[in-house]
Amino acid sequence: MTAWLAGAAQRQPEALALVQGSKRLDYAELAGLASRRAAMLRCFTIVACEPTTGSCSKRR
Amino acid sequence: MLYDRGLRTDDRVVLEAPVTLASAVWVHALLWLGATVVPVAPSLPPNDCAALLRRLAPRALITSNSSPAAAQGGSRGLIVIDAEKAIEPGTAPLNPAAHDPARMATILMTSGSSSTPKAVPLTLGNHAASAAAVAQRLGTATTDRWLLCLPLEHIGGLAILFRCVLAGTAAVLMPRFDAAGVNDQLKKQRITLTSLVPSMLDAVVQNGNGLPPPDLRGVFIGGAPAAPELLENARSAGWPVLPTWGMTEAGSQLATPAPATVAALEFSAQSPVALPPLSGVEVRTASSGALQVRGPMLFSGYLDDAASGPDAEGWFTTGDRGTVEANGSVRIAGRIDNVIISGGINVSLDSVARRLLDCPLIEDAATVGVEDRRWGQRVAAAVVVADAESPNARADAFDDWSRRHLPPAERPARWRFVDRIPRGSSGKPLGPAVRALFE
Repeated sequence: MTAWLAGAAQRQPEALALVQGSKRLDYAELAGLASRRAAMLRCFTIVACEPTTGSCSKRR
Repeated sequence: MLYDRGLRTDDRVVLEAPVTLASAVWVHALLWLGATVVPVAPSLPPNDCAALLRRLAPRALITSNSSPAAAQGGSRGLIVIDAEKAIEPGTAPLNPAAHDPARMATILMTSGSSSTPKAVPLTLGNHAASAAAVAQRLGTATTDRWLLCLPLEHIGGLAILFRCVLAGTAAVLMPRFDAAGVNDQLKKQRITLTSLVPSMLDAVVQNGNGLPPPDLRGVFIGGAPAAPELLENARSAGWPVLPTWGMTEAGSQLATPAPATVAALEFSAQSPVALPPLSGVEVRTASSGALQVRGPMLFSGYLDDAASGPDAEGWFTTGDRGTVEANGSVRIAGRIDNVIISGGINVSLDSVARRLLDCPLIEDAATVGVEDRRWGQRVAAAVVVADAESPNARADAFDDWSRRHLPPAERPARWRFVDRIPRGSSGKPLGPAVRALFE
């Protein structure tokens, strides 16, 4: 699937990928968002040992 | 103390997934990373969510649920990530994980009528094979546009995301189903393909005054058996209905007709519609009457019960009964476990429910088996009456109709008249809830 998304973004970057109401993403934008979100998930750090606390998590 | 807790390839992540553009981006981001996505309903009750977290022991939960209850009872060390968290400025893109068809891409919880969902892992290869086979059957073009109004935690919804990426087509997302909204989107967005469960089709056709939008070329109908009358009415009004046979374990569909053949399909209560298998799908009937399938889209076993998966030769015994025609088409008769023995005769409860819809007094029906001292078991029917005010809407009128149209073992011994049949989001009657009507 990752290869497909990267491939679709290369082949047809401006083709429409997702629509919800007035929001639209083309394949280049979708791949860009997915890759940066993935980077964020890969690299985030946390500041304590509590299981639900972290730079990406909602403080409870 | 600051330390790295980032997610890694093969980590399991539960994603609360409303049908939104943001959820779709999360799905793609997790797959980009090489993680395994477990999409769940945003409305999942906290206790169910906690049970799921204990059972699957994921590394992370992505949620916009402000209630902490969802994380309580979860596995120790669970990372809870705010679904609305913005991407931090300056975040550099990550290279995608190496493409490995054998990597577990998703785990979906089955939504069948049983009370205990099964955890179904599917690999990238399974999803790829399913999407490719569906694209081949549909003759998908880059100009196609899918409407996605099924839940993402169901394979019928999630598979649309994958089909779109494979074909380079667009998915139009509807966070909440409503018939008027679907008709509006079908027209405004020039939708060509969509998937609906039978109750959705009924509502959409009625709301749309019977007229389909001109660009629509295929409406997959699945998730639950569709009444032949519903399919016939929709088709007569010009809706390109494509009944399907599929299952979570196979990444969505196994058999469905091509759009060009809609006009030739035969919808009848006496004989289920013949569905040609998708490319790469093999179907056969076991001696028990259960249908067995084999193909590259098929999973390799349940997460916590691998022995119930495909056998050593790749054949998976489904819970469906049916016949396979000489040309390979399959006719689905009902669930294998939905048979009772009444007076020594095997009675398919699904078949009886279908036949009851032939009664002009009945709008919807579900059947269960009840114990009977004389017969062993009898059919009990919960029905929605078409015109509850009619003087004919009495149990004796239904008994009379049954006597004239059904063999003795199939005639319901007990009736319950209800405002609606309790059904899950896929449209399947909820067996325990229907059974409770007769307790």
